Amino acid sequence: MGKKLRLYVSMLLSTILVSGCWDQVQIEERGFVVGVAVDAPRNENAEEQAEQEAPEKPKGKQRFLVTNQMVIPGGLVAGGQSTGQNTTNEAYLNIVSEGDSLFEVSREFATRASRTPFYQHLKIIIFSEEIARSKNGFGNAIDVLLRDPDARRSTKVFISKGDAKNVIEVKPKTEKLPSLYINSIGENNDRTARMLPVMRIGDVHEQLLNQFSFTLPRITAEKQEVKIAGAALFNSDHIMVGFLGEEETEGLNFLTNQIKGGLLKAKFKEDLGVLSITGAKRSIVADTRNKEHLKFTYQIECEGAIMESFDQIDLLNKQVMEKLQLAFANEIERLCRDTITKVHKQLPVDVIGLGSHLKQYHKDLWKDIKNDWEKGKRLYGKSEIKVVAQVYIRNIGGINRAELGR
Amino acid sequence: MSAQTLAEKLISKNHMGINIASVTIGVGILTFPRTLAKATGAFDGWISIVISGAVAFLIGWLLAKLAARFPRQSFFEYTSLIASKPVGYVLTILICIYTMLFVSFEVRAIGTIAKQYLFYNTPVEMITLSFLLVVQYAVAGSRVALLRLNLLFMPVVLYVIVVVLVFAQPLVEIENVRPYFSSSWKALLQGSKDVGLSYSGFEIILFYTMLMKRPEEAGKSVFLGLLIPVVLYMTIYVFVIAVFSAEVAKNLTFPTIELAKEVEVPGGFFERVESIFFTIWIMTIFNTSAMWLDITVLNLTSMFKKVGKMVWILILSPIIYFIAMLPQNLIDFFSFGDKLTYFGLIIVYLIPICLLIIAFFRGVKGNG
Repeated sequence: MGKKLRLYVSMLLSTILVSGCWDQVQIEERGFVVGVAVDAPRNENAEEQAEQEAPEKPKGKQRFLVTNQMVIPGGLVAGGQSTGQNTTNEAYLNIVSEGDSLFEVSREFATRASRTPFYQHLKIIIFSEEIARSKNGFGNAIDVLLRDPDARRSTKVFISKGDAKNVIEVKPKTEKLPSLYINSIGENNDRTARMLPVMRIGDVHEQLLNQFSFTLPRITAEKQEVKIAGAALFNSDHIMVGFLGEEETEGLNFLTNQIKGGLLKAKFKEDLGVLSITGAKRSIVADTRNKEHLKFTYQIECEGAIMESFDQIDLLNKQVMEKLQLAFANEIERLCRDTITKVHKQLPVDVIGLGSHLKQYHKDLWKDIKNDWEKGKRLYGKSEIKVVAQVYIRNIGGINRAELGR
Repeated sequence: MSAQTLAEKLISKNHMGINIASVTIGVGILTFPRTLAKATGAFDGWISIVISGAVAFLIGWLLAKLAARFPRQSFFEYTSLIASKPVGYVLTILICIYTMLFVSFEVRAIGTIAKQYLFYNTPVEMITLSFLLVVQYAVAGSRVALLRLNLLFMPVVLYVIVVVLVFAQPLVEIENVRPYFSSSWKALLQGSKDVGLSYSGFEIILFYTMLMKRPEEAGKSVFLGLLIPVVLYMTIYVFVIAVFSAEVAKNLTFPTIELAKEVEVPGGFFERVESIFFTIWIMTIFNTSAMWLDITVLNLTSMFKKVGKMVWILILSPIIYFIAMLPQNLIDFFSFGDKLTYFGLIIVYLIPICLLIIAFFRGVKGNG
């Protein structure tokens, strides 16, 4: 009897305990969101409508127009039969909605999409310039993307010139999914110096909690392609204050020690020489004797290989080589000076890592001037910055001259 | 080959050390980088980890001395010898309450954290209940087998943590760790106090020494048992700060989980390491709570010899479950843990040390 009872009880318990699974979600029911674009709404229709419906409902300071890019798995199969109504064989679906909370918007999609949005595979987030320039927009928009236990801190963040929606809606020829296309472009900073290294949302969180200004990569949309080059400048209050152009971004990368590759062009004698950068190193020397007038010297060392030489010069000649190195060094100094003019004189934002340098290597001084650096007495703007560059050409390629001198 | 069966074998000093490490590594490993970064505000927190590790070792060594004085005698027996039977009863019951509350805390931690990151729809009650049933099952079996499970799990746990850290290495940013030595002594001591909460667990030496082959080596076990967590905590802290910076670490609810989530193994196949991390973390919590429950039962049976082990497990489990369900939110839950450690500070650290002093002056010794 006892044995039988035990058997029945254990059978009953196992049916109750083992069989249930509250959290099962069929993979077909998940809507994998790979990209999110956040814009400011263009018109106020939706807001007015909401206002009429419920005038007393709590409102945020900034409204967002959010575009989610969801994967349609059927469209990913090359030449596969299109499922359902998907006649164009597209691999993605962009859903757009607006509201003053990003979470609200994402839940609002549940009323329109059969698959619930699932953010664990989110690759990119694009914020429009307008959101970045608004007073509370950027920090507020990023909150849920960091807080959600589903979200990953490795999602890449970009700032779009113009509408973010247009960026995520490009139709690239090479990839099925625009978001993955943008994601791959973002990793090409070993080919060009005009692109900032990727900023993951975790890095952005770090910047938002720091007291320094920072930069984010800029992205611009064309019809069938996007371009990631240039940088968006944020001041220490985390409001975007302007863009850096492509060349200025090159200078910025030299100044912040973020060069992974790229090229340098310099004029030597009459025509151009082009150097492919294989590595660059930067160090800062600070003269901290006068607190009110700090002096900084950037020492930049760069090495590379000649890729093009239009001037018919003898690259195996030591003196020629030294002059050529000097010409490239001058070019680096010019690039850096242009950047410094913009971020030091025109818009004083310390994106070139000086405050961070002081914090790391002159901690006592930093404790003293922490509040007078970018704000207060604005010691950053009053400081003096010099750049000294040194270029080493390690290689000249397979030939010395392509043709004899004209 | 010895004729002893596995269950009769006594445990060696290294095994005891692993047991201590298994109990010590628990919920604290997920949260301590936050509290430490908050207190020290910088990379220097590692000094706090060493300081409080050293203090913990000092206390642990004294506790080991006390327990080793009375080989083969249970905690209740030797406290009664030192300070009369009534004191023995009161103290042992207080310790049972402490260890039982610890089980509640650990199972609730599983419930809360698994709910936040793994099971969005499953009720906390259900997660906690099923976990508690597994713990109960483990404790119902042989004690030495349970201790051996620690030996089995510990290498897996350490290995997975090392893998997570190795893959976190590309994310390290050296500027996050500088400047060195910028925190004041006061901040470091505050940090030591905060991280000290994550070291509680080595007091099991008071109760398990009687199972050791050579009880006089208990001090060495405590050393090994604390060395593993100290090194582990230091490495994790260094990585958390180097990857996130102190400012971010202050603002992450569970920095160690976030670290595991940040890691991406290249290749896309094992892109998400956090699932493995959760697995091993649940294993450590399982060890910790099973050991605490076992100690509660051990102490109760040493006091009331007539009542069997199973009866105590069945009496305790509903109480543990009920208490585990009391904290209403994360704040309640954390303050529950803090209060519990302060309670433990008095009854498992201060009072036993007093007992050692009394035993020393009175010359009370076990019959070993």
